Amino acid sequence: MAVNPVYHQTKDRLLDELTLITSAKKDPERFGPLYTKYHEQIFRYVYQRMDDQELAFDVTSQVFIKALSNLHKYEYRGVPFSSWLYRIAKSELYQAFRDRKARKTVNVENMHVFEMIEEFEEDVSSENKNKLIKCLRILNEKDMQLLEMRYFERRSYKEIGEILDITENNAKVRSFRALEKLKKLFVK
Amino acid sequence: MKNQRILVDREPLSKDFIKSKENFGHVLSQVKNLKPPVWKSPWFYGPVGLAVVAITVSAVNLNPTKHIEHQAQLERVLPIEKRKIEAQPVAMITPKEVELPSVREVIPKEVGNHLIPVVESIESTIEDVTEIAEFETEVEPLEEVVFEQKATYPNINGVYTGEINISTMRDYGITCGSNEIKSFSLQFYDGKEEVTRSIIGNKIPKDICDIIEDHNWGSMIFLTKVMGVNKEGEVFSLPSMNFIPH
Repeated sequence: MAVNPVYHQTKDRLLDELTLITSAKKDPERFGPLYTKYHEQIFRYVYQRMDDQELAFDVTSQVFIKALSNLHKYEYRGVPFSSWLYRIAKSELYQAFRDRKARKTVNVENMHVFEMIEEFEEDVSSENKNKLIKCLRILNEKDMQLLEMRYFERRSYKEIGEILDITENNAKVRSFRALEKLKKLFVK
Repeated sequence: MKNQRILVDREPLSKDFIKSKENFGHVLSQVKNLKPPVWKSPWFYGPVGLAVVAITVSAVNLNPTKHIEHQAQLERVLPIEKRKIEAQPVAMITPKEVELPSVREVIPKEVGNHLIPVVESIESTIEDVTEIAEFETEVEPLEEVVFEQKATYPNINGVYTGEINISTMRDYGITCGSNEIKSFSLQFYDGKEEVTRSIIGNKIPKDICDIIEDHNWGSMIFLTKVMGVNKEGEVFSLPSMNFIPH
């Protein structure tokens, strides 16, 4: 599975990013380059889980407002700054679902659905596709979140681990279990 | 998962379109206009500070345990005072009975044609009086009363209140000096409503940590009914805590 080049960075780039964060802590206007760098990434993460486009842009703005106003609390842990932004985005998403009555949405591509069916060693057919989509609806929130990140957004286990604040290995195990659950529901 | 919509092959948004919606100026102005929460403003700290001082002062003055301690002290002092009172009559009466050396008798004696005054004094009781006086001053010193301080503040890795890192909450349990935390109640938002969970032990379970991370980022959670056990096995209640996970 191809890795997300915007997310994964070399140590030097991480340190450059840290310099930007440190200067933004002193002067919020210096947060601009970080905003430009991560706006699309965060928006896509939010929009993947939402139906309303305008609301998704609004939530993305809220994520950056919250990040900037809480930047003094940010601690560098050797992972990309975006993992912190994703965690804020996750929280803001839940708040939007709660306060603005936004509807949770899962966006899947036909290609991803068929790939999953192939992984279950079943026939790739429209009937199986509908069946799989029905099974996805039954799946609990945590499992859905893992499958969404791993199979629909094509994120690496390392990235999933950093976003969910768990180890890479744990992300791998949890994703595998979630897929097994979905397979059981599908084969039933 | 209920209330979830699954969309298949939604039209993707172009990079340029997303870029056109970037507005850092708006974010910056929103941050600048952001007012601190009420509980962080000086208007909140002033009255709350005064109220805390007033409550502390009244609690110290009306502390029932202090009254009990005072009673205990009085009980210790009382027998000694009784002994003093018993000794007093002896000290008062004895000098009168034995006649102190200041009482002198002058008897004139005839020697030739002159009368010579002769002074006779009684000194035998002086020692007895001194002994009584010494007895009177022998007062047993008061034993030092030591009151054990049972309660210190519970904390999670040194954090008593305010902001706490979620990973700290996951990794560390509640501690309170040498006391052992047996149970506590946790109030948080689970995505639907405010819930209160009773937890046995001193650590917030992992599943609850996950919920807190998902739904309580930046909002307050409450730890109440914190019950501890000291070295002697006595169970007692500890002060509540509140945290803001981040």
